[in-house]
Amino acid sequence: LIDLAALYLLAGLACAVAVWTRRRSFGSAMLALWLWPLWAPFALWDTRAPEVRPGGQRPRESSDRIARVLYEAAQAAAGTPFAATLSSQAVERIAQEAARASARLGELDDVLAQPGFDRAALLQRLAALEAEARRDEPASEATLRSARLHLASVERLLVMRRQQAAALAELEQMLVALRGQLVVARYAGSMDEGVDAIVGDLWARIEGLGEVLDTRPIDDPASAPPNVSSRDAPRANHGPRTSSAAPAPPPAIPHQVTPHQVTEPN
Amino acid sequence: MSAHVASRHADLAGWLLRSPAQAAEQCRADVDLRPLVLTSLAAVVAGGAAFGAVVGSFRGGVQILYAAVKVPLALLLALALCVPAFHALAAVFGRPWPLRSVVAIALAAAARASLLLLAFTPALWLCYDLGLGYHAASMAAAFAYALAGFAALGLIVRGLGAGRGRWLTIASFVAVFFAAAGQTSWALRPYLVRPRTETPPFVRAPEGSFVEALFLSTRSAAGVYDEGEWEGEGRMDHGEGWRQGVEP
Repeated sequence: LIDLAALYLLAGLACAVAVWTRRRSFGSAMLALWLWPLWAPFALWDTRAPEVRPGGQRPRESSDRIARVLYEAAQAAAGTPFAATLSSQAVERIAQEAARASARLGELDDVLAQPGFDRAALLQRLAALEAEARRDEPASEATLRSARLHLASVERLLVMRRQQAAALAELEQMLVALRGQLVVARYAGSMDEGVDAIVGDLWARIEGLGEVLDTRPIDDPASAPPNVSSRDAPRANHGPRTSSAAPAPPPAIPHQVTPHQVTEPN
Repeated sequence: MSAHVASRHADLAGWLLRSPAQAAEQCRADVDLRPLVLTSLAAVVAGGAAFGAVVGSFRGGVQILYAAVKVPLALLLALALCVPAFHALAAVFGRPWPLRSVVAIALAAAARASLLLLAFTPALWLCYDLGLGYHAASMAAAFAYALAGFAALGLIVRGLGAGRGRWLTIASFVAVFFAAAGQTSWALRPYLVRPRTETPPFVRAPEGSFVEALFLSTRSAAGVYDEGEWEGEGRMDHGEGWRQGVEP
């Protein structure tokens, strides 16, 4: 038993050294020394990140990145004439809207991750049902109809998800551009009209984040369900955009801003 | 530890008790498991220590400390011994998951059991305080342990999910854990000591194995006493008590 204990501790010591080398955490190294079979797998290797869906990103990461860029932009604006442009209330509002949009994106991801919401599987099932119907097998019209309806719902969710992700990505890009402009303005010491334009667009995006987005079916013709007639296809919705992929032109800017105005919309 | 961190661990512990299915799902997903694992380890230590302390309070004194140390130690040792086997068994029976997932499921299950033990401690303490006899005290502790075991099993069943080989995997997990936990607990006994014991040892001298003890105890329970059985001084607490019906 003592031999075994010595071997156990030897392995624990190796794990503790590895953990200390990698993480410089005394507590983690101590845990690894005594409980290496239980702790080392977590202390030594980072847990895998969740799968990123095509065209998507982790919602929480996106929100965190936006908050970071926003903070840096506010830092760059501090002490300059642009400080009022990014007042603390405005920063807070933008961060809140971004977090809300990220949460919505996360919820959509959760829904779409459920087994019954796999579009490819639904397409296969629909094709099989239609093949059965063509062979005069008892695939009832009601079953076909409900399968098509479910597919249409899933496609609407997919479009919503994609648009929400695109809106967040646009917002992030705008904030990155704003940060750049503010840094330039800070060091050049001059007023740049580019900042005004970006801030205007930024508020337009913030307003648009919460809106119901276009939920037309996925515009990839190859991915359309086989043998689904236009009558059965999901109806176009009435969102402000006409294309699901390309960003729409920004809605009307709520109000013109100047560097000296507090620019948060009412 | 800051109040925020403690509050987060408490939230996670509550979540483990309330939502075993979600906890199992997160373990399987192998995403951001470090907080869950740390909370589980803390729950095992805290729950096991509290339960052990109450069991040790039957005799009182230094035995409270001994049992408080040994109960979580036995559980953690058993888990450390079992998880590689769990990982292999799960893979053999159709669940080739990462080691982290299997460790997390095992730890979360142990944490759930320990939290249940923690919940039982006031009732057990009250029973001991009201003058429960030695045998009844050991049965009460065993009953609490069994219930906690079922709580752990609930999480493991959910963690393994549906699919082929589920029940075979569960049966093999239970068999492996029963053997490992039995032996580690046996090696670290005594936990429940009669009040008349003058100086309780931290652990008894090695004598036989858990399986042998189980066999002999089963025979004793059936009224069959082998020649020379329970003669050793170290077995007075169990053997002599059982044979002579001596109450503490």
